Amino acid sequence: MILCILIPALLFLAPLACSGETFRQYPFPWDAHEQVETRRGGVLSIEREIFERGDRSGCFAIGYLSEGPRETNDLEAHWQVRFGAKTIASGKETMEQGMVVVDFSLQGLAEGGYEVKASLVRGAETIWEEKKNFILRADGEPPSAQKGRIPLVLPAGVPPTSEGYPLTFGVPFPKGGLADLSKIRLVDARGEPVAAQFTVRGYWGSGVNADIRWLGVDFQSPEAGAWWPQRQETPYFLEYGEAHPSVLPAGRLQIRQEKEGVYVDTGRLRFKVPSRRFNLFDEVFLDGRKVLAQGGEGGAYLIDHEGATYRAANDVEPLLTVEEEGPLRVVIRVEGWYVKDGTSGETQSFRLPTDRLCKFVTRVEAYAGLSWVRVLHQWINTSDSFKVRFQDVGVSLVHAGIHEVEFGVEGAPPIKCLVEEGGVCLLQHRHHQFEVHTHGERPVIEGEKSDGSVMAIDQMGQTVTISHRETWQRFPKELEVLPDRLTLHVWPVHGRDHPEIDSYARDRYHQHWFSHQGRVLNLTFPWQSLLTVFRFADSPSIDIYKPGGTAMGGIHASAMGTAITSDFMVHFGEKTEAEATRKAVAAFQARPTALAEPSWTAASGALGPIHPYDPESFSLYEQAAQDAIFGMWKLQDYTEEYGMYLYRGWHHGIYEGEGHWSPYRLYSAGHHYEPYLPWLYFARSGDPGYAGIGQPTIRHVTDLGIIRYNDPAYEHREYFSQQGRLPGSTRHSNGFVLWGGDHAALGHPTCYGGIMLAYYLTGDLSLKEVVNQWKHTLLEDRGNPEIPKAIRNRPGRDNNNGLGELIDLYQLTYDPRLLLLMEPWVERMKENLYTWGRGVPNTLFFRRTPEIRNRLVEAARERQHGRDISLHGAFNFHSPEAVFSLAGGLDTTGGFDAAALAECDIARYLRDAATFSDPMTKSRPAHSIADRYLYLPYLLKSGTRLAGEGGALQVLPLGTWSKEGRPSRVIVEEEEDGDLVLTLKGRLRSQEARVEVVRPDGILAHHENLAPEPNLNRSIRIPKDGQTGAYIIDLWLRGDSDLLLLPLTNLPKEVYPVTRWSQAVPSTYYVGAPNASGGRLEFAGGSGALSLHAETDGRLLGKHPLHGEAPLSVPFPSGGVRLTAGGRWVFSGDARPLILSCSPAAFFMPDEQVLTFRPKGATP
Amino acid sequence: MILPTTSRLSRALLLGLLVAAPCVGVATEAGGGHQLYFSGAFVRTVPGEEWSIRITGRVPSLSGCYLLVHDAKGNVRHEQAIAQGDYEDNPLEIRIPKSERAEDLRCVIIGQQEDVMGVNLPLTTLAYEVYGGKHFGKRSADILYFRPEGPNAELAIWGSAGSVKVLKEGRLLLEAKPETAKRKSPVAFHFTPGELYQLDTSHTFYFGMSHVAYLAFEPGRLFQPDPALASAPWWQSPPHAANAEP
Repeated sequence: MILCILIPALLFLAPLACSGETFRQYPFPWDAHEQVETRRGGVLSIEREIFERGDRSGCFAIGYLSEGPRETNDLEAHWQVRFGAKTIASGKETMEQGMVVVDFSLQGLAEGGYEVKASLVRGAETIWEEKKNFILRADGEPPSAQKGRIPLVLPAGVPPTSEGYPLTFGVPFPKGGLADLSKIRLVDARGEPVAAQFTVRGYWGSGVNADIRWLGVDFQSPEAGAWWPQRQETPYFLEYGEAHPSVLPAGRLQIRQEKEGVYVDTGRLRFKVPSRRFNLFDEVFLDGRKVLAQGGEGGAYLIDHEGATYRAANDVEPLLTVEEEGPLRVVIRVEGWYVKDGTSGETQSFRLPTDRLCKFVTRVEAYAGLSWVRVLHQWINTSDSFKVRFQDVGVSLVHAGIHEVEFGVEGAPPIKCLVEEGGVCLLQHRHHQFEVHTHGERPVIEGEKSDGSVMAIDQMGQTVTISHRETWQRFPKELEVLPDRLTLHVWPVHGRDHPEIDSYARDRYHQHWFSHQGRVLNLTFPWQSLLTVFRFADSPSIDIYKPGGTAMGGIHASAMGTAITSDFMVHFGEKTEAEATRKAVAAFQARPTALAEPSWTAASGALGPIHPYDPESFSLYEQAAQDAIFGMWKLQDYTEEYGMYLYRGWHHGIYEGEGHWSPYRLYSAGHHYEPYLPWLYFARSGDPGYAGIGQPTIRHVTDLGIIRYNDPAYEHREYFSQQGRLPGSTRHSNGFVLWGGDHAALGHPTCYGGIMLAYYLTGDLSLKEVVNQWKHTLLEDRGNPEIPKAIRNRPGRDNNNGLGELIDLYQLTYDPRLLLLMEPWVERMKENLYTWGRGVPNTLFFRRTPEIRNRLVEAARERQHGRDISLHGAFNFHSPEAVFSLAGGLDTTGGFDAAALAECDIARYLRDAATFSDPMTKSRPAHSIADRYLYLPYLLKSGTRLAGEGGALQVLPLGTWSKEGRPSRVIVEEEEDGDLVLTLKGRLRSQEARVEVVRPDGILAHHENLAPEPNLNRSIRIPKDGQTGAYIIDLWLRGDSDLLLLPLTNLPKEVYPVTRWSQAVPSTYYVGAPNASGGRLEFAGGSGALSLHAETDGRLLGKHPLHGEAPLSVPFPSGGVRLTAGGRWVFSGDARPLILSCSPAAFFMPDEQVLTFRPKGATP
Repeated sequence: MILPTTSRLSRALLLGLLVAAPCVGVATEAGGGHQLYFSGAFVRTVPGEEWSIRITGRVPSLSGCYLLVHDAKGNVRHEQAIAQGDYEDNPLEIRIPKSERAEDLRCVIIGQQEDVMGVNLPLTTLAYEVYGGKHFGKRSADILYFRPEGPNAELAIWGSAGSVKVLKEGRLLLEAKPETAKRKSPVAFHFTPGELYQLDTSHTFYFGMSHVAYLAFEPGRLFQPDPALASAPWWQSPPHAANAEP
């Protein structure tokens, strides 16, 4: 028995050809001769430059970037690792396979610096040699608890169903948290175990002992209330750290793989997913009764413009795989071609005639105990869209004997009809208009929004229901029922034109009506749209940096490689259980999900050092983020951005107001990392609205913004850069339609990190598939002629975003080939720190490159000292926020955070938030939202140290003494004689800053000049002096450069009389008394947003985007006012000063003589 | 006008203010063998006579290109999409209705460089047809003619990655040669207004002038178009044509 255990263990250790047992070397296959880098020769890449204990393991890779194939055949890699003067491990390995990887455990290594030396040897000759260092340190992240309980939240709750609803989601774990799936279980609020399925979606490291970084969780929930917005109820918990026996569901899911297909038994539903002639599923039994037998006419199909029909079921050799399998959920993936009826499918062309036209990738998800499946069907366009059009694209379920139908409607009762010979259909032909008609007749019913569901009822009383998500949002769609089938038309067969719509009006042209109306789907961009852009731009220029140029990108856009994903449920039931079906449909449409309580997610570190949603500490920032991101989304609602080729891309350019988007760079796939944003905010807040934005955004990007297919024989090139297609590559924002313009596989326009994050959080394997396709291109298709233009490795944002993507991909896959690929990218980042996407954060927090860390902090310090220069390219016109939020988090001296917050200037956040919330006024460029808010969670993480956990940020309102000779005055009330202590914390840039303290008797107690200090943190003590009463503290500071945190003193009563004040960061104050006659609170003007809430009940009294001299006046409520000022300055009027304090408790009304007191000779 | 691919090129279209000068035209068949990348084909109509645009050659882009004709006020007289295709043996004849008076019009082809260069010149059946702009491209060795006008008798001429020669009656007057492969090196050309000059561009692909010039492959086609044409805001006219059927 012991021998049985030892032998496999010894075999496992056998690759230890090296001298240290901590190290394990092995050859790895990679033919690295097709380089996009100019660099040639050997490469040594160490996974990280600083390791921490929590990483558990590390690795380095030795490769050879060669001119031609098989140049490494006669090479041998030699390596050694030294610690101080001692060589602790060494080895040699043939390079026949292209590269050599050395894994090492950190457990046996001491803290300190290590040197890795690698060389390549041919015969007796050393042809290359390189040394690199890494550090192992004990500090860094604190060890995580090995045992714990994670609250899970159901952001929008779970609607009622008769069977429960399956939830699939992701939970991050910190390093050291979880390494073993047997040590995790799900419990409800009472602590009772709940059946769950766990999947590892990502690890913290490359070694076999690595901890889990992202855990996939499946379970089924009964009806549950929404967690958001109260954020209180957490009905489930994950308990980790102790082994527990598995809890199996009552109706266990079973699958059986046979040659003819995969047989699935959910407990209620039995069906087969055929491995040949794939028609979605066949031989369906519900509770033992046969409910569907489709044959060859069912499943996905399409009809070209000449009328030929192509079916997925005609493909005799589709690729079927079981992707995920567990007791609760199974995912079966089928990939193949649409093959023309009556052909063998052998000939293939992107133009007609062809036997094969378009690909499909379909996932069938089944759940334990449930009578429905989810289908995620992707139609991938492989045709030349300039020549091939489509009359119909759909998915049919063949089911004889249908005689009744029920169409679901949002917010209205369902529409019920009898099904006669000609059939009946619901056509959602605009986002807010549908019509139900029988064939050849006028619409019998019209309505607004289908809920995407159609229930067909047969003569036996059985029901088959399709419920398609985002139906009206992705119009046109058609749900058709004939006596022998029901069909979801992805592109309607009965589509119609809308001559009543001026498709090229200022508030319409961006809606791309050419791809959303008519009988036939024609994806050729209209010339009329280009000419319209010329008119709007008042320029006929077709320069790519002009609106007309991007519209020319649309003219030259081919839709080959685009996909349309249809996400729908197929439900089987009985007419007598129709209400249960409707509930299941409603739940499916509500798309309930779960996630870990956001503070856990933020603390896990899986998203980097972010701060969770925290309106208590950072109300203004959080409100600004919500206003900006949801404002953008609502603006897109307002400008009616719906439709299957539109819902829902991000804009790059400027909204001009009144429904008109500037035509320059109209849409953007991920140019400024926008698709990452909603998922980041969802994870850190649990606000289901962010998931509501994230879902269609990420689908849109992966369907249309990323190239899914190419035919190398296709001669098409896009307009400006003359690029073709590269599978997995991302479109830039130069194509007007999302599938137009140039593309990059690595470079600044990509956002694969957003796709990966969405995958981690949702478990959507179709997203991972896109990432895998991109990875395949990067690593295994490097000879593709499209590669050189798609790998943009110029120093700066292209390189840095590309490196960020590579690190995210490495953390998803730990493919060692990526280490070699990313090495030159790290070197280039050292040249230029231009922060874009997740390049710099990933490098800082994964590789921990010290040089980059130091340069970033240095750059931020230089900027803090007022040297407004672009150090190492760190500062760019897009987002200084990125630099400061990262540098603030890295700085260990304290006090630096205040400057970071100040530099990041909430006014800019608020400006974005305000301008995207008014559909009638011109906004800022849409990309500015991502530029700023992407880094806000890092910034707030820094800010918590400044404000203290749970503390609010309040800064001294600074009087404008330089103009008016008035200092910033602080008045404190000393009730008992004692020491008065001033704490000056913040930042001083003024050369002539000064402080004076005047006792209640008018005697100057203290005065001194204050030297500039970027990290000010000092105290001034005024000893006990026998006085009580009001002390006056006058500070001569500059509003545009200085910053002091409040409260300033150790006394409980402390107020700030102001009439005009400025502040380097936004702040909140309490106002305890009115400043105008009639018991009113008045403001004469200011900059940025100002809001007033009643202190007692939080009621909004007034909100104003103060610009210049725009006044604001509100009645003053009893109990006082909470004032939040977001701008640089506020002017409350000259008549009476406004008395501010940090809180009601600190407020008091000073005497008039104290307010107006002028110390003799005190003014500098 | 054929729209260039750079903003500078397009700006050039708006700056042309050369004075029209009478000259004798030579009516020849449209769709000859010349090819040029240019900003606009300026033509002069004959009162009461119908005329045609004749697309021959090849339009390689899958999207095809777009043709429009406008007058000096920017009114679009004709517009249509030209589908991708080989028009060498199947010319596309586009008849333009006659007008009551002689007028100068500009033909604009919107498309990629290769689409514009794929269309053979002359473009029309009209006797007077010149190619205006400041930036041009040409592969063939054909000689171009131009008759510059004042008020300044100086024009800077450049070739990109190759030389441009200005000749008069076969005699070399100047040669503009770039210093490096990438750099343009404009050379000042002092001309006599109204005189006929030749342009030999056989050693370069891109070439251009500091002011809008009107070129022709035959001296008899030269004329000075209405200066208002160059800045006529044709793009403000609402478009009417649909895409060409493939």
